[in-house]
Amino acid sequence: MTEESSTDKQLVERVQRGDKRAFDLLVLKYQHRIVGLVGRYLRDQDEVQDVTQEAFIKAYRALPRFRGDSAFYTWLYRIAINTAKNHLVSRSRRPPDTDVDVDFADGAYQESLSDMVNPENSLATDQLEAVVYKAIDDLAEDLKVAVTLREFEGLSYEEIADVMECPVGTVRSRIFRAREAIEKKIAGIEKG
Amino acid sequence: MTEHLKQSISALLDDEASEIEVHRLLREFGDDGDLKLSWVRYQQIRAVSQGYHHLSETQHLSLHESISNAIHEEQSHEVAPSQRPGWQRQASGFAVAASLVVAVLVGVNLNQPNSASVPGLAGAKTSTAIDVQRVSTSDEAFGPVSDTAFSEDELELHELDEVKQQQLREYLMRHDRMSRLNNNARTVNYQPKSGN
Repeated sequence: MTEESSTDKQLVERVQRGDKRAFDLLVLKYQHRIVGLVGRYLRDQDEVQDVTQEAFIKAYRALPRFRGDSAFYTWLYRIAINTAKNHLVSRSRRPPDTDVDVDFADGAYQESLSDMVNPENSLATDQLEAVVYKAIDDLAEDLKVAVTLREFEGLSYEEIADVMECPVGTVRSRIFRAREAIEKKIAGIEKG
Repeated sequence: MTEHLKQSISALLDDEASEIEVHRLLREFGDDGDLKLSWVRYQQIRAVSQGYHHLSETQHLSLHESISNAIHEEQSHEVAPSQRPGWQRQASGFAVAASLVVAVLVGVNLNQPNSASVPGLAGAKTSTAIDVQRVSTSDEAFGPVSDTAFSEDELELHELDEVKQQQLREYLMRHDRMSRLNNNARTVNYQPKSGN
């Protein structure tokens, strides 16, 4: 992600005009990433959640001063990193020696995940991964290609449309149907 | 929860949702627990694909609720709409309606000698000139508003062709949606020229 998303821009402007629901959408959009990012610094799950919450609250309070000089998510990541580091300092633990680069932090970091999850969570994580990968594998070819290009390769709808030689609307529909199919498979995990 | 809404959140996840979809989601999202659950699961699919999965679905929902509750206890950044000065409320609605006025005028052929009534508008010629006021607004999202005044001689309305009619219909629907979303907005005031 290197460009400011127009959706983010819309939502940020709404929040700055007083619409808190718009911030709810921003939280949901970035919550997973921020949890993962904070998890690079903290091992305890409760702490990760607390610090994530604190980071979002700080971001909300600071939003009137956000001028859009950087992308929203970049700005949010900086807040999250600083909040996590401050938390470590306040608990008299050393933060990491080097700052975590935003772009690097956005990438895969499975090694750190295995450090911080407890055995129960590890099992749940493995189970979820297995279900998701199997579900993707079971998809019809056109849905599989569309969702793979989107989720694993990060291509835009327009780029995927070029690759698959179909309209953007078709790409959008295929990705949605793929997610629906995968969602059905993972729906039972929590209850299981 | 409609499939249409779920498709919108799928698109929003990819930054491919339209402005109208974002408006609709903002309206429906808070009341629909199933929609939120679908969103969390779509995010989990992404998190697994990109290797940053960490919390469970329940934990994410619970976390989001905590953050949401905390945010809603915070002070709003802007004053409430009802407390805004009247000109600001009008400015918001005016900017939206200004686009509608422009759309109507696009369909007006000022140079054609033959005139016919425009569907939905009474009379072939208007006897009232429209004087659109400039209203300053700091809302950058709507862009600048320009002064425009049309005399009786300039305004001669003609029937729109099919394409322009469709464009006008789309503008009207969009304006209607946006007006309904902004309860305090008013459409532009048409002021007759003095002497009419």
